[in-house]
Amino acid sequence: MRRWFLLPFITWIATVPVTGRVARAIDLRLEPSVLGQVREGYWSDETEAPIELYGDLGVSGLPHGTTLDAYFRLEEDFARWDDETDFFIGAMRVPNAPGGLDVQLGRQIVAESPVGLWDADSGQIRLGVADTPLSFTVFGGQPQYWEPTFGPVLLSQDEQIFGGSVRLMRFRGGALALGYLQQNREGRELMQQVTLSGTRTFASLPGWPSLYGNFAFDSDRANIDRVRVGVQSFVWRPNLLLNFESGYYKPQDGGDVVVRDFERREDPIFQLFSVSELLQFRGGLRYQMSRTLSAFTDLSYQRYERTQDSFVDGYVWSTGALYLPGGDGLEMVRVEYYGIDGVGGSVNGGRVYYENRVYEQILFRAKCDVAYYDKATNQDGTAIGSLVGVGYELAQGLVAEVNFEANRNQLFPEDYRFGFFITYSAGYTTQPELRRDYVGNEWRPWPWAPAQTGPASWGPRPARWTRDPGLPSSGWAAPTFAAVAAAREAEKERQAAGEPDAADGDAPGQAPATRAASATEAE
Amino acid sequence: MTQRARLLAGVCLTIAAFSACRDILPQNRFLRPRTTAQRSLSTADARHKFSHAGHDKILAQEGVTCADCHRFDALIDTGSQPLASVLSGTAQYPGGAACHFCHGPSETRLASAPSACLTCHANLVPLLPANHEIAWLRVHASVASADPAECQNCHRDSFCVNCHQNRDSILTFMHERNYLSIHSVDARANPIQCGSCHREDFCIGCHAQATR
Repeated sequence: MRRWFLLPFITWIATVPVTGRVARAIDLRLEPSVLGQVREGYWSDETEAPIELYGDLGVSGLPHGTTLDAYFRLEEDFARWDDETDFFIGAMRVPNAPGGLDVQLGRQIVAESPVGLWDADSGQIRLGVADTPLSFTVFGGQPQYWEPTFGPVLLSQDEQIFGGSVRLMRFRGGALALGYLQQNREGRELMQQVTLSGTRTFASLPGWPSLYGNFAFDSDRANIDRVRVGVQSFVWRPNLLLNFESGYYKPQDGGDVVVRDFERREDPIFQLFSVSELLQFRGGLRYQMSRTLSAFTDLSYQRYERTQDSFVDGYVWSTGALYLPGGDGLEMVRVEYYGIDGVGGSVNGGRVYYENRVYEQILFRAKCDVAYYDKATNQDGTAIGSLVGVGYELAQGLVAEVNFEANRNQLFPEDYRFGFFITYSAGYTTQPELRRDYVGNEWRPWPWAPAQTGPASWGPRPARWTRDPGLPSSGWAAPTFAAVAAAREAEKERQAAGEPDAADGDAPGQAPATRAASATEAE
Repeated sequence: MTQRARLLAGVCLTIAAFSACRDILPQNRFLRPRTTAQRSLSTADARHKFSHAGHDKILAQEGVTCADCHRFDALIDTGSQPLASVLSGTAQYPGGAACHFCHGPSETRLASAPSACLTCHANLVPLLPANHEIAWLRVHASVASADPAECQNCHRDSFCVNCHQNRDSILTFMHERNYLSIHSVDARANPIQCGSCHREDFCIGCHAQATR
């Protein structure tokens, strides 16, 4: 019935014979997972038994650096015979296409604009200008949505986006880009944005602050859609990481008129709650007490106009600690208190996450999230989400887990789920012959971990900055590399001055130090 | 003690047992600590990517000789041949700085040298950039929009796809299961965030069904 799902397998396998005919090494990536769960349905009292097959296949190292990637998810509920969340994505990227182009085609993430991003069936072409920071990008395509809606689709999916961007400047640890983005829905223009996005690290300032920000202007309505400016910095003593950010958001300026037609709204969910703009301030700290223990806190404040001349405030905060016993990242304890306070009510909650990968072949994780809520609608109660999972590494890269969830919320006081997953993650290379090259999940077998455990969850290293990791500051090799660096710098200056290439006159095998000295003399 | 309390106590005890095993319980086949523990923070996997044959031309062009990278004159006097072999291998390895001299992210990088971390590194954990350490989940959109190519240095597209496109999996990615009870409070406190991933269909579909 669904034969097309074989396509990624066929594509992947078909590349193997090809690998024998080319000299370069071709890398194959294979990361399939099978997940399943048995639970009681939320909207019906029936038992649900969804099984998912999620695949991530990739080939890289083809001519022109071409990479082929395919992702798919096939879901079948064996209790209800329902398969609403299937998807298949394929994308090809040719980073070194003829003419210096970087071409990407297929379903991909495009237009990471200040107002969001799109998963789109699209094409994207990038052209970098050699020896300059300039890079031009154009893209166009149709956004795709497939999250289940548990009901009829209300917003039209007849959408198109197109635009482009120019990277104007490139800094050490940053860049500045000017872009244009247009979104159409049902054949009508929804937004025309001129965007400016930038980030820059100031390595010469104390704390090496890193600034970032973006700006979006709707050229059609002469409306500033979004401004966001933030800074990240570092204080050595104590080991403190700081992040502050402020923003302004106004997705659509209709004057005093509320846009009633959902199809004509730029951000329909935001416009459900607000008739106007939103101001936001956010701050975060991470304090590293020792190699194994760090604490973090995060607060965001929002103020927006709910109805005309009625402004409301909202606060979201969290604070907690991350403990990494052993300091090797194989065992993790994360404790967090979080809260929300706003016009909709308040929430006070706590969550604990524990993960253990210390022992050969055995993996264990447990988490529990308990939240007390008191809503403006006079509803209050305690909501719980918890999971215990035990995994076993059957072979290198092949991990199986069984897990049990016990949840509770205001509609469903007892929600128990039994689940499992089997995941295999590996890469193969054809140089000199097809052999196993690496195991993708050896370091962290939980594929969802970075998002799940939060922003300050992993990274057992002590916080540190390196100004120029390419130059050894000391050691026996330092003089050699310093000399070559000086020679290259002199070469650049000479070329900038329009003088002939000094290297042309070097004797073959001349030591770089000598060349550097010659270059200095020539200066 | 209620059944739930017993369950919670059981989970806590299991966690404590796993934690204690590391130091207390005798080691057996299953409780033997991972031999790969330290490797998780090592960049050693990149060493084996270097090919002398592939670099012959550029090294000659730059005038970098064998002795510039390898310390052939190191004197190793241990009295033990196996130990000397190990130390010799270590002494001859010039370190990552030698690679990074030409391959980004250094200022001395050569334009013709690939600068993507994935060129040599498979294990990205020890390469975690400093700006990823705090609130990165919220910050990354701004940085990615300024220079998406920078992200592609280390991340394959699958890294983005796993969160941005593989939504609503059986596994929870962003929200815990109890979020159903508190989402209305969160949405009103910070209404800017829902639209990053969801469309209005997602709200109305459920709310309409709940009122039936």
